[in-house]
Amino acid sequence: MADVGPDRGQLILVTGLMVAVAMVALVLLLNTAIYTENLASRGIDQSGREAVEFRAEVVDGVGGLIDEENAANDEDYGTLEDRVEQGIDTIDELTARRNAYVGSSAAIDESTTTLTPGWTIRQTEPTRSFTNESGTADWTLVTGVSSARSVTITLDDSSLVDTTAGSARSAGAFSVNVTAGSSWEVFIYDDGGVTIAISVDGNTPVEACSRSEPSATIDLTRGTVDGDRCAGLDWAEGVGGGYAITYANGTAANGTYSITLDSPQPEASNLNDATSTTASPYFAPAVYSATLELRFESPTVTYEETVYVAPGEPS
Amino acid sequence: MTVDRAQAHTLEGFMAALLIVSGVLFALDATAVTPLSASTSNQHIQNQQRHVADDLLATASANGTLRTALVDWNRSNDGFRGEPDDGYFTSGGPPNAFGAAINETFRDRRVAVNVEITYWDGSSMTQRPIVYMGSPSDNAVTASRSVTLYDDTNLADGSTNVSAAGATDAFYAPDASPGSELYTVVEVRLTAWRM
Repeated sequence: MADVGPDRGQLILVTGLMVAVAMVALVLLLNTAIYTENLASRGIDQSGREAVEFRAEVVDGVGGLIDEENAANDEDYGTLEDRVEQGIDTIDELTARRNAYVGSSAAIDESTTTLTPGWTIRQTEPTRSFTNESGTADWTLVTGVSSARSVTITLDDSSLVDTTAGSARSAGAFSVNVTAGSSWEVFIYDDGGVTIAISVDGNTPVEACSRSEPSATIDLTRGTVDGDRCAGLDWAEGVGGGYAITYANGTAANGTYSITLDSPQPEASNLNDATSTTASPYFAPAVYSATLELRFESPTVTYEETVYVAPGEPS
Repeated sequence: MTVDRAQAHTLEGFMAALLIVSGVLFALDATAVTPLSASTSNQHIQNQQRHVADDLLATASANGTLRTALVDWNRSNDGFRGEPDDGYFTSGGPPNAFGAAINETFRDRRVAVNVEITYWDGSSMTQRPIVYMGSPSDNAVTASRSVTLYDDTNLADGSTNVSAAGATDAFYAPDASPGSELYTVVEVRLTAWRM
């Protein structure tokens, strides 16, 4: 018989104890595995967020800076460029300090920052009509434009012609025309408030949107009216490059406007030169766009990009 | 085999079985001790709060209410509009659209919030609290956003612009870039934790 005899030493008891201890050890092991996995998968979606936020902050900050400097400056381009570069310098320094506090490095490469020169055409007197400097109602602002941005017009409906979309052309409503072979016209008139109608290639104007408030700010390149998107308002739709911007029936609207373009110089015969006088309407040198190289580094992310800043440029 | 050892063997068997069953019961009752078991907060709630804080700041920055809140400055009191004597708000956000958003998103859902701004004061970066609801717990999350102020950004009460206020030392931040239209860059940091 396979009897191990009286001194078998409580083998069954000891085995039972061993099994129980093994089970407890297994539980401990599994618990550690679950804890480690949970700890390791925390915050995985954070990487990249700070880099994207840095990029957005720089684009917004520099874009706003360029527009502010263009509006404030009517001297020569050299002074304007220096001021913009100083502003970018400050943004770079403050951003770098802030990010250093949280252990990341954010920088704009000063040596490769390039600014593209351009021009701005402005009228800053809100009661003046949209005629040229000598009072002509139909006039050309600039010819041969390759790209324009931030074309904004602010006016109130008391000065506009009261008409409807179909008869806007015959009633002599104010219009902004973009022509390069084919044409794209925006009619602005009063139809229960400030109303906009678009005419492509000389066809009957079609109403795009309207406001019931007495005054409105229209951004033709962004396609918004008072900040709200206006469907159908697509700057220079169907018109090729090298277009001319003209106003028709400028006496049928009073207000302010500003246009930023890259080349060529606007019509000096129709506009005041800002270096001699800033009586409306005038043209002045401006920064059209900026190209910056960004670099962001943190323990988890390294990010480099060349960004193009041109606020309000039609996409 | 002697007969009088049989009962001892039986007992031994019972004891072994008892030991194993107790071990199994103990193993089944043991739950994984994970970070999810923390008492005042758990990991998923923290992640969610971080997203909400980020999105709140992004929305406020996009619709302009964040910039308005930063220039909602009372020059005569040398503090933000409606600020108590302590120098910061303790029972909610400031009395503007940004403060209303904070209250609706966080305070009304029993999540405490601290808001502080960091800016250049001429020689170093300083911090200033706008909202202080207490010392954050161990499970707090933060989100931050920067806002650029320009020389002709108007104060919220429309009385003057930031550059003119800063020139007479009547604004919390000085002009960081006197040679350009840029005034300064202010960072807003929001810390949120469950009460």
